[in-house]
Amino acid sequence: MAKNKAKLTDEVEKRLDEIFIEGESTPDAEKEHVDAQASPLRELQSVILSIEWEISDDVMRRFLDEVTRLKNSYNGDRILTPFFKMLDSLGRYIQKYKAKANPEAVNVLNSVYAALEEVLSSDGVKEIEKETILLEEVQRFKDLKREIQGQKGVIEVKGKARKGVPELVEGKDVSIDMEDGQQIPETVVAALNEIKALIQSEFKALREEIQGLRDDKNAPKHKLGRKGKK
Amino acid sequence: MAFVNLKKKEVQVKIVYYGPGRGGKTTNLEYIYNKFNDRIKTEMIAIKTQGDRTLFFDFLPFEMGKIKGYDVKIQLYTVPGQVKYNATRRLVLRGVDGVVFVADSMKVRKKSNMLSVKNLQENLSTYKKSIFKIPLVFQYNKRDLAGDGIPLLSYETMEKDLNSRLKVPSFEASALQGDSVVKTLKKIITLTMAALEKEFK
Repeated sequence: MAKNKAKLTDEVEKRLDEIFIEGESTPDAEKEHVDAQASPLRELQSVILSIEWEISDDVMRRFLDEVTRLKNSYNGDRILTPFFKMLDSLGRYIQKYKAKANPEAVNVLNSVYAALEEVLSSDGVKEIEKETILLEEVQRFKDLKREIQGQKGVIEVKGKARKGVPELVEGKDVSIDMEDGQQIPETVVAALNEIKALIQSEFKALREEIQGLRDDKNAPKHKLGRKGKK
Repeated sequence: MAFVNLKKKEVQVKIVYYGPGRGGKTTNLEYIYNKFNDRIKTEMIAIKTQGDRTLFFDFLPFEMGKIKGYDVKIQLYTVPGQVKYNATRRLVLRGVDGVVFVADSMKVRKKSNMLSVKNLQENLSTYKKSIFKIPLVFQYNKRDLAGDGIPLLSYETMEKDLNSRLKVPSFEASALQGDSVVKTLKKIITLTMAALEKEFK
């Protein structure tokens, strides 16, 4: 039994050694290391790794300081500046909500950083390609923003629905401002509009049905009888 | 318990990386995936959500090839570490064969480590498994932070806090730098395979 056990363990260990050979750094890994050392983003990269570990006030302050420093040093660069603005905005959001922040926020932050690194480190990349990379990140950022606003909106609307919804039923157009001046997000407005359209079509159908019943009432009796059998 | 298909001669082994939030469980899997992807030829899947109503974990499957005539497939999972995701943690533990407990070496995380071990014990007991019997390895992660002047718990303190009764293998590690990530993985797979062999005999 002990011999068998040793045999299995040996076989497993041997197989694991074959799969997981360590100590050989791949060319990519080496390149990444060298690039990171020389990069102007070295400090930012280090802080972003810290965010992976822990979102603390100290880490987020360091992050925002570094983003500001980079934003100032690349002041006027029309491709890089939006990257720093997005990082700044994401950083402030994560700093404010920490663990309660939308989990996607850290992913988007990582993605924006990776794209920034790509744009900064690639001398041969054409301006148009840089713009494409930027636009992809802007879209990602906007999607996240919409998602966050959507979540926030639903919660806020729940608390204030009794004040907000009657206006809709009365048929006013929905450029919705809440009492405290906050705006309801577009997604909520769209959903409310859909409900409004549904109610309107229901009313229309009901009106038609009532009209039909009135017509039936005024129609000859045999017609009414036929309807009653239905 | 491992899924064994006698007809296909296939064994699926489930290993779960457990521990407090932001302790480095996902980083372990990411290191394995990034470093050995060309050999294990697989995809790492991350399923994330904000609430506790759907699953929220990372999943890294890979094949070890034939061992004793059986195709051995390893499935690595992480659980969400945050306290509020206990339902998901429990769900991920279903059918677990081996556990890597990734403890955070930072001094400020001393209590969360201990609570998380207790939570592991409780959640295992819902599946009638004992923390004292299941193959388990401790990984004391983030040792690299000592270089940044961050106060860390000593190895001895962590052993005393977490492993004094369990007395299972433990490693000091830095998942971010890859230190002892593979050692930990190899150890848990070896222990789990040995335990499974014993169970099936």
